[in-house]
Amino acid sequence: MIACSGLGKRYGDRWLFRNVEFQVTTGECLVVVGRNGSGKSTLLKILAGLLPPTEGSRRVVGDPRTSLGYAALDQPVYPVLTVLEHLQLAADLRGVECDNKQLLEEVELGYAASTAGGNLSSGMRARLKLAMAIQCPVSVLLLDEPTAGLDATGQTMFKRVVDSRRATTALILATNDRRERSLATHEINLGL
Amino acid sequence: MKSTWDSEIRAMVRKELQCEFRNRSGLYSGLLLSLTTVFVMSFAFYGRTLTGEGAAGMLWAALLFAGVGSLNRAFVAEDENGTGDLLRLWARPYSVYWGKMIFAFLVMTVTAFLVTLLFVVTSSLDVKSPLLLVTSLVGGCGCLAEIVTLSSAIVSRGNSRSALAGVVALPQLIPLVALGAGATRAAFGVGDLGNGFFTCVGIWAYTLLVVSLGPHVFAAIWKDS
Repeated sequence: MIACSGLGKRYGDRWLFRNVEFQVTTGECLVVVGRNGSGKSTLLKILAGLLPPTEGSRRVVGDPRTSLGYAALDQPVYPVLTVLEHLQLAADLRGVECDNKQLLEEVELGYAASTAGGNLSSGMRARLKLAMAIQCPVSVLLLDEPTAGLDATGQTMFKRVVDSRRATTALILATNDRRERSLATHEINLGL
Repeated sequence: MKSTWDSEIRAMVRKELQCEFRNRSGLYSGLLLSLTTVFVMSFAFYGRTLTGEGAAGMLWAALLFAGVGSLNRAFVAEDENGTGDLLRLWARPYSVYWGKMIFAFLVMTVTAFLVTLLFVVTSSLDVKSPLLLVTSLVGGCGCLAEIVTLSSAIVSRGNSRSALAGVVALPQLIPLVALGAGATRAAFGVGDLGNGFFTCVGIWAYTLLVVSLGPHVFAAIWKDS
């Protein structure tokens, strides 16, 4: 479960958003929509604990390292570490044991296990970031434009991965994509 | 599997080693800068006898170049590349801190021993107390590694990071250089050896102080950034 109350973010004199309040529990999917620059990615970063809010607070049940999965379009990966090394590093730091090779098969990236992050295409990077987000049985998945850069098979894979976790995960998506919006049980519009 | 500190720290050190040895620019530039300093000094004093006082000062100047050259490698590069967020998502602050610190210490120690060896050979210096020289260098490298790691973390999210890192590191480095030069001077046979060992204890005490405070300062920075 993830909840936030009175959340606001200001850059200089400009408020991106204010008074954002919601609670998302297992089985629910909140889709955050809004025009470019409305703060969708910023909101997800705050929920992931990567940015401090200007006001308000967010609450995640459990240790965020293992209960929260985050993948974003603009999240870089280590250019010199291979795909498998990324997953191993994440597992070691989170203190979880998982079958990384099987995980790569699930996101259809097994063929690139020994490819360095710097040599991945944008679609392959999106698959790697999704794999890192779902590596442990997280209770909250935060996905920022998850299918941007994915081809048709990638989008099918994404839907399969999300569908298989819907029952056990609270899902928050930042997107304007029509197909991703169809997953929503609730929707927030940040941009008018 | 339960998460343990040592497995997390080992993972961080392994990641640092993998990144550094596959992307050698930082390692080479730091080593090259230190070795160039030694060669320049050797040429400048060619045919003359280098005094213990001068040698100690020059040696620590070369080590400082290596240390300051590492400022970018710890956290500044991580935040510039955007990969720092991956660590914020996965790791506990203390694991990140100790992993980065231990890696910096390993790099600094190897550099210090290469530089010192080359320095002693090219300047034909007589080392009166190798034990004092080694203990001063190891303690100094630990302190240098801590200062570099913490300073880099403090400035990693600011503007003009590299210049700022030097400014933040300088006040912490002054006591280390003063103590380090004193102990090394005694190791090269200038002054009383007993005083040299006493100064070396000062280096280790200062190192223990910064190493015991560093993680707590870092945890606050890491959480708030």
